[in-house]
Amino acid sequence: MKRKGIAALLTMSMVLAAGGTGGAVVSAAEDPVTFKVAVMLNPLCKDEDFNNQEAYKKAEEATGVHIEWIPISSADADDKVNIMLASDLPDAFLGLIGEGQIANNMDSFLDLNQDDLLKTNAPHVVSDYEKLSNGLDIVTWPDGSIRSLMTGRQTSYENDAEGIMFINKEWLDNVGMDVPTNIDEFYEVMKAFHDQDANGNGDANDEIPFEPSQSDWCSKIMNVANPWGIAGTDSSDESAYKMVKDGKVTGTVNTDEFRSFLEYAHKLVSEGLMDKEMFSQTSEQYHSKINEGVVGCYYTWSPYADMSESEAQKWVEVPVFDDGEGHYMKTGSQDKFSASRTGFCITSECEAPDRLLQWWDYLSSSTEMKYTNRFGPQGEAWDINEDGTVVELIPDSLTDDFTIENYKYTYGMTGLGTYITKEENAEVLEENSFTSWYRIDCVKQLHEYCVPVENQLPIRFVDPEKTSERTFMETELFSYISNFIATSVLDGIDDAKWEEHLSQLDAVQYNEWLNWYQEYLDKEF
Amino acid sequence: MKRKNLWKRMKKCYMLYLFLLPAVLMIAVFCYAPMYGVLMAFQNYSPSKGITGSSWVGLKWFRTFFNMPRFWQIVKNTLTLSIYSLIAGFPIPVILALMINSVRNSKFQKVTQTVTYMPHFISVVIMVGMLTTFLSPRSGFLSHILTFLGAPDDAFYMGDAKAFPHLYVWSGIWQDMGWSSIIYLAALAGVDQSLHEAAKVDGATKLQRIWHVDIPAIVPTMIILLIMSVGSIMSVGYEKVFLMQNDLNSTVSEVISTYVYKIGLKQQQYSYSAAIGLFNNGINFILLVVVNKVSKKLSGSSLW
Amino acid sequence: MKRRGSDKIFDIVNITILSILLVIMAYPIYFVLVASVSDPTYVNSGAFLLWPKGFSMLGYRKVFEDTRIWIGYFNTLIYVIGGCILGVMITMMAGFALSRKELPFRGFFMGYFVFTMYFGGGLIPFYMVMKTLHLTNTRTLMILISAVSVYNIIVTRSFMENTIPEELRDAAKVDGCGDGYFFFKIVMPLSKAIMAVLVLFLAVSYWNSYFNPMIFLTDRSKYPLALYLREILLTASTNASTSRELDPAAALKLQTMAQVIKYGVIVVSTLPIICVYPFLQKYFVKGVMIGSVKG
Repeated sequence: MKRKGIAALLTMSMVLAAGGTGGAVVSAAEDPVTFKVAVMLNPLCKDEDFNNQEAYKKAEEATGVHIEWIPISSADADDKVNIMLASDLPDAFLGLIGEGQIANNMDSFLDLNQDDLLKTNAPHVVSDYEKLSNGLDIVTWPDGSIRSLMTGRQTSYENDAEGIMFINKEWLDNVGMDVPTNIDEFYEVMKAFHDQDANGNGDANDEIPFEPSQSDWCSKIMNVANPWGIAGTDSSDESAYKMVKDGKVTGTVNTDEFRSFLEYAHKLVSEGLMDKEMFSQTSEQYHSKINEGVVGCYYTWSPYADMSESEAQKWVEVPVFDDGEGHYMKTGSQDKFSASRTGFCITSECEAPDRLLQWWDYLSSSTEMKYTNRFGPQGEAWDINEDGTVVELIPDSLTDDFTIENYKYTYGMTGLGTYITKEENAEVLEENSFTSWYRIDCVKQLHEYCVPVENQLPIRFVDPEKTSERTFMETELFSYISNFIATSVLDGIDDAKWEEHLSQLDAVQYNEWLNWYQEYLDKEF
Repeated sequence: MKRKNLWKRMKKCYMLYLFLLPAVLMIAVFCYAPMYGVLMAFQNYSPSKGITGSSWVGLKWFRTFFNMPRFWQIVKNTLTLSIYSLIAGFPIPVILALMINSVRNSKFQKVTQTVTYMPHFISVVIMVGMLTTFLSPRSGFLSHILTFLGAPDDAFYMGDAKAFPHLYVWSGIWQDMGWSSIIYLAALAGVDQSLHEAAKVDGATKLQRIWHVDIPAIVPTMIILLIMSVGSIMSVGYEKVFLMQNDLNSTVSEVISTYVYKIGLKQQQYSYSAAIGLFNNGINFILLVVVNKVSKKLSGSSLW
Repeated sequence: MKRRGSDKIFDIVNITILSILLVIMAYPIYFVLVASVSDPTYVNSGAFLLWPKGFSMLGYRKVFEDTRIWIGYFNTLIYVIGGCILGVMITMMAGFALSRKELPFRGFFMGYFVFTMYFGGGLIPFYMVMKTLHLTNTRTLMILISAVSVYNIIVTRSFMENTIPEELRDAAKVDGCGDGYFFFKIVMPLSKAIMAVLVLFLAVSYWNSYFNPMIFLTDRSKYPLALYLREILLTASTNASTSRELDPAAALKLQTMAQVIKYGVIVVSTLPIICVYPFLQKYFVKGVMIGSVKG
């Protein structure tokens, strides 16, 4: 009893010290209350009882809120959540709800804006959100309601550049060439890889010079269009079908640059320099090829994530290609917003939303608390330097069967932890986790070429009717464009085909689609 | 008078009704009780509001479906796959069953049966994975065999829209012919052996015996199964098509079920999927009724 | 003499075709076995594998270490056995009743069953009904849920119509034998072949079923094997971009892990159900001598 009191006192002072805004400080003296929270169970997590996590133990002690977790495996999430929405609403969802589910079931989620619920009970959360350029608008629906709170990090530098092109240095040495800096040099290098025995295994025919893959998240075909100034804000092909320039949403797949890219890609495929199986292979086949030692150049997160350290060392990052006219771009977004806006949702079933919000606010009350929620106890997977910056560490308890990923998802919630602002982002040191550090180092070389903030679409919720209008257009539009790209790359393109393509774009409502985004950008809805 | 007669006949069959009861009850609970859900095809359904609380939109979703630019294309793709599957896939299990049934060496017979039945248990994900790897133009051994047999050297089967229906149908036949033949084998097991003996005495060859003894024994089963297959012509399962789909073959591989899946994946379009499902099954059901009637007239076998 | 000659040709052709078929059928199965003890890199290259390449038992070791697999086995067995007993009984009785031409309203009942093959209320209403009956998250529901299949009833009915001759029933009637007695004493022993088929169909559908357990079970200790298998297959093909909550490096690690055990899990989880077949086989290899019963 005494110990509990002291702990509460300690945490209270911590809240006060870190929060600054003061606000509602809760004491453990309040009646204990239990909430049911459905939570996404990550396959890497080795302990299904989330109450064993340090952050939730502390939060229960401090706020008297006990959580009865309902873990739902990520594989079943969609179906199960929809059933829960129809029949058994828990008090809250953590990491299971998407924008569409809120849009279709508005009334199932509590409006946190009403009676100033959020402002009175979660001052830390509010002050964090207000630091954003559009403040609380980021989680506000067109009708003025707030139905969800954010999880994860505001920005994650390592994610900004999406897939990065790497080339095999050993192969380059074998054919006596340097890392290419533009598309012509790239073509020459690929040709040399193809014609010579670049991997030095005695067989000059087993080399695949260039290996993008539609089945991999970051190796898709539109990455190849980067040198022509066409780049998406993320690694999906669709995001590169439009770009924003000077406040205008413009099409990309009807431009001459796009056609040049198709012709170049066709040249690569027809001469056997780019693998045509990129359109049909499974993700498993793709990764096998990478590991087989027959690929000379590919897009990836980091070679260290794909293969053994000794193999990964052979790869070097390829800089952004210069097409001589300053068109160059890189798929990805600078300062990309990477938090989930629908991470934590309190439902209409919840009888004491104030208490649950206070619990969430406690978890968001300080950088320490946020990271405890994210990665587990301080001093193991993370710590705070004297100057207040957070740094990632490697805990001692890891084994071959319990890796750092297992650790982070078992002792903490990782992406489902409370919202972390850009200023609070943890630093990654080379000596602590080389793979992550190396990735960040690679991103640094390309970051300035990613889509700048002013050319990114703002993030906000829109009227569900409008979203559904767009979705109906997209199913047809995307299917047409991706088929057009694939067949053009494989079979080539001529004037007749190009004209036909332009008129097809009208038929599948390309302009309407662009217009939808223009109106979105202009805040017309 | 007639009524009384009926009552009498029914009373006579009370045991049969008792036999029927468990099945009727189970179907009532598991199928008819939730049947009210059909209504969501005419609503703007939201799980949280339920059927009673959601707003009515009439035939809106049906119109949306008919008006989409690719409507005819995906209906055509669906029918191509299902009719092709039916024509190629229906006779093969019958032939297989007859062939296995006329093997005299019982060990060989058992082995063939067991082995042909096994592919049914390979999950579709694995199956499609194998298909793409074996048909890889670079290293797939099946590609090499086909090249050896005279196919063009750089044929790219998984990326060829023309090859898609063939790959879909024949991989399906490969996987399910053994499984589907089981029902015919069971029917053949019911054939009275004395008929075979009598035919032998009459000097009939094996082929003649198959034609005059075995086939008549399985025709009723064939007809019933055929009626049911025709009644599912609008349904092509989404999973396999979806897994085999890629950017190159999407013009022929988009079928109704994959379209519904994609629309549903982006946002929960319960009502739209329900409407498309209702449309599909309505057509299926009408076809079933028609085929059943035709069959009753022609062969005397029918579902009811 | 002529008959024997043509029969011989028939046998040779028949056996040759079946043997070729055997190879085509068996290789992919063999491939899965070989793949389960090979390095995934070689497996995915598509080359013809005759022997394991990069031999490793790691996949099996991981599978056998995983306690969930054993819990899954136990649950699956309960569902399969329960479902088969219930399903075969209900289906046989219904099929028999519907095969009797003298049954009044036979057509109505057929329509009643067939209609449900085409029209249904969808998942959410189904769930609501089960919830009202307090059947969600129970093993009972897992046994009940697929016991009655209209397809099976129709197949059974059609089998009985063709193998149980009208005269047999008439003869029994003359002897003063009621429908109940007739069914249990005469029809059942004559219908071993169709019962074997039903056991097979039901066992396989219960064995493979993952969707209903996924929807209706919340308690993971009641999960059947198929659900774990599905989780592993899904992770093996997870794409980092589709899983919001996973950073790419972690997703890749998961995928690699799942690939190593994938084929091992498939072998462990399908071998038992494949082995059921040879036991049922004898019932439809040898024909039943209906003539002898008649006599």
